[in-house]
Parts: sequence; structure tokens; C-alpha cells
Amino acid sequence: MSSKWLFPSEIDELVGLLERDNPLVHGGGTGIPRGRVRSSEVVVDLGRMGWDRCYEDGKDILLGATCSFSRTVEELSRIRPGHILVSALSQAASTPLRNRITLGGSVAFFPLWSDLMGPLLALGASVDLVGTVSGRYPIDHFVSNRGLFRGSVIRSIVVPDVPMDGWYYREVRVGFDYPGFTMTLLAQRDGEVLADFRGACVGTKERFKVFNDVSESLKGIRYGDVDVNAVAEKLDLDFPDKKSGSGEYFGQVAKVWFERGLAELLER
Amino acid sequence: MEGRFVINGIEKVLSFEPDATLLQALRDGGFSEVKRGCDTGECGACAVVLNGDLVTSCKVYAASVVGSEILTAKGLGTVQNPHPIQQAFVDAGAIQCGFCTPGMVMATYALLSKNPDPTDEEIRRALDGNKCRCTGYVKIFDAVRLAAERMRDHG
Ligand SMILES: Cc1cc2nc3c(=O)[nH]c(=O)nc-3n(C[C@H](O)[C@H](O)[C@H](O)COP(=O)(O)OP(=O)(O)OC[C@H]3O[C@@H](n4cnc5c(N)ncnc54)[C@H](O)[C@@H]3O)c2cc1C
Ligand code: FES
Ligand code: FES
Repeated sequence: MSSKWLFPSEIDELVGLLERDNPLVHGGGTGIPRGRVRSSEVVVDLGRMGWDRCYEDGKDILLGATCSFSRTVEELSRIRPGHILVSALSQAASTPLRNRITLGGSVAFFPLWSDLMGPLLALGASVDLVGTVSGRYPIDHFVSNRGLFRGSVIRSIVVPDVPMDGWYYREVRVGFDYPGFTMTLLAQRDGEVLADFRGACVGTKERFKVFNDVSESLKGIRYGDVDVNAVAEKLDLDFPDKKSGSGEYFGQVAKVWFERGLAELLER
Repeated sequence: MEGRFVINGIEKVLSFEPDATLLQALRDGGFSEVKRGCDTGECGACAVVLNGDLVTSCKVYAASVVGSEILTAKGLGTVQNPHPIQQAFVDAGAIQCGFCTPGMVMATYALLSKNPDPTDEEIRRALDGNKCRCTGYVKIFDAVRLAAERMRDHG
């Protein structure tokens, strides 16, 4: 089959194509195998939609879907230096790949080794969609119910602009590895008290785990009173066996890193 | 498909299949200095500078970048008139089999054009997508530092 590449630059044009042609959507392309291009009648490239900027919008930060990881790191470092996404995305893949991988493609593809999804899930981000289903949807709902959103594309990712201390870890043997899992922890301090705590682990059997129970149990506790080991022990993380280690191994390692991360956050 | 590109400063029309990668389109178009190693984005042998940014051309679809400016190692210098980065790789002994060298040189070029005085950590990060199976990287680091120094001194 000879695929036709199209480059819409207006929303109406894009939505028309999505509804009519069921096209293959191209973000950066690093996750699309050639066979999928070959077998698609229409490939729609989002590169001319102008969705390649990050900016503040009231209480949120909007990240354009076609922002590359590098562009996101560059722009977020200016808007919110030290943002958790800056530390996570600047460690992902390699320089030439970070220059190509887009945010939208990474949410839609959501590989098990994603450096993007942990921070987004922990921050409670949403996706802003256009197409058959449009509007804002919580990101965990979007990735867990992909079938409901067929015919729609991500225009931007909406991240609540909350000041939190962040800690990020990717489990790799050498920097360039795909991570076995990633761990994101966020804490907000109010004097001596932990006003808010959030976290997410990506790479588990269900792909990800948002630490909602832990968050509830920690909110409002004085920093000095948190029993880090006990909290880590109660973590319910189930990993699949991977090339780089068994599920059980990853379960143990994840707990150790959770403990270290939480301890570090509480010391800040 | 056909597409017009500006490659090494010269306009060029390349023919390629709709599923062709930029790597394949470049090599079929005669730019054999762009090396094909892993074809999966992991080795950096195919690295080129695309509109100012380093990319692994095996992970870029040619159709998606029609109209772009592409720089390959041959666009930097020739054997008779090498670019200071290429000369630095020779002088530092940062080349053995040479297979990774065009990609390394392009990664160095992408770094130094934005950051003329990089720290060791910045060099490590800029070259994190380029693998070498021969040199052990120490001399490659020496070459990048040497190139940076010469380019700062001589513009
Ligand atoms: C060697 C290598 C190492 C990597 N290592 C890492 C790593 O360590 N950490 C990490 O986080 N990532 C890593 N990646 C990136 C990751 O694996 C995916 O390739 C990447 O997330 C895909 O993003 P993309 O922009 O290229 O999307 P594409 O490949 O263009 O698209 C991926 C999927 O998303 C769909 N899509 C694209 N854009 C949108 C949109 N806006 N709305 C809806 N659907 C869309 C596409 O149709 C496709 O199904 C690595 C990639 C490679 C090749
Ligand atoms: S051939 Fe492209 S990265 Fe190896
Ligand atoms: S010199 Fe041989 S791979 Fe680098």
C-alpha cells in the first residue's frame, strides 16, 4: 500500500481527516514501526499544527503535544526551573532522540519505560483532545480507556501549576537503558507539616501505579513523624518479569528507591 | 515520493518510499557518510543535524522532514580541508575503525554550535546517543575538548 502523508495546519482540517480517514498520526515518529506506515493509507503529521510550545495558563502549565522532550526541558526550565518534568525528561533516551520524541506521542504510546508518564500521573495532569471526543480528560482515565478516545488526538497536556518538591528515579544499569521502572515522588511542605504528597511508579504489571493511598495516609503529618520504612513496606507494587530482572527483584528494588526518595524529600 | 531538501547547503531532490527513513533516503541519495548501524536509534552512527538539532536519521521518516536543512559530516569539511572538529578527532587519536566517527563529529558540532565552552558533563550528555565500539571514549572526550578550544581560539 502506498501511504499518503498529509500535513494539516488548522484544527478543522485535522479533525476532518481524523473523522474521515482513520489515519496513522505521526508525532515524532520514534515509536512508529515502518510496517505501520506502510500499511496505513493516510499518515497525518502533526508537525505543522503549531502545538510545539509550553506556556502558563492561569493555574496550569500547558505543554503542546508536538513539543519534543528537549524543547519541553528548555521551555519549562525557563517557566519553572527545577520542575519534576525537567529532571525526568532530561534523563530520557539520548540527546538525538530527545530532540525528536514528542509529548503527545509519548502519552499515546505510553511505553513501559516512559520517563514522561510518571511525573504526569503524579501531578494529576489532563490531556486536551481534539477530534471525535474533544475536551479535557484526566490522563489516567485517557491511558486506561484508549478505546473511548479513538479518532481523537492530544493537542496539549495540562499540568496543574503547583509548587512541590520533586524526586525522580529511573531504574537503569547504564544511563541509556530503557528504565525497568520509574518512580516519581512529590511533596509540599507547610511549615513542619507535609501538606500534600503524591507519587507514581511506571513499569508495574498494570503499567502504572499512582500512590493515592499513600498520599491520603501522609497528608497533614509532621515531617519528623513519617515512618519512611513502614510506608515503603505497605506499598503495593506488582512487576512483570523483565529481561533485566524478575518481577520480585523489581518489587524489592522499587521499595528501596521509594524509601530513599521519601527520606530525601523529607530532609529538604 | 519525491522531496526537496537542503543538504549541506545545496538543494537536492531525493526520491524515497513513503515509509523510508531519512537515513535510507540520504544513503540512496549518495550521502554514504551517514552510517547505518543499529537502525533502531541506539548507536548514533546515522546522526545528522536536522534544522539545527542532532537526530538519529534512522528514527526520522523522510516524508516528515521534506523541506528541511540537513547537515552531514561531509558538509562540515573535506579530507583536504577538514573542519576543526574533524581535525581534532584525528589529532586526539579519537578514531579507530571510524564507523562511529561521522555521528560523533555531528554530535560534537551540534553541541559546540550552541555551547562553545562545554563542561565534561555537558559533553557526556551531548554525546550520550553515540556509541563507539573501539576507542573507549577517553580520546573522543579529548577530541571534543580540543575542538572546543581551537574553535574558541580561532573562531
Ligand atoms: C532507542 C530508543 C530509546 C528510548 N528510550 C526512552 C526512554 O528512556 N524514556 C522515554 O520516555 N522514552 C524513550 N523512547 C521514546 C519512546 O519509546 C517512544 O518512541 C516515544 O514515546 C514516541 O514518541 P513520538 O513522539 O515519536 O510518537 P510517535 O512515534 O509519532 O507516535 C507514537 C504513537 O502515538 C500516536 N500519536 C502521536 N502523537 C499523538 C498525539 N498528539 N495524539 C494522539 N496520538 C498520537 C501515534 O499514532 C503512535 O501510535 C525511546 C525511543 C527509542 C527509539
Ligand atoms: S543506525 Fe541510527 S542510531 Fe544506529
Ligand atoms: S572508532 Fe570504531 S566504532 Fe568508534
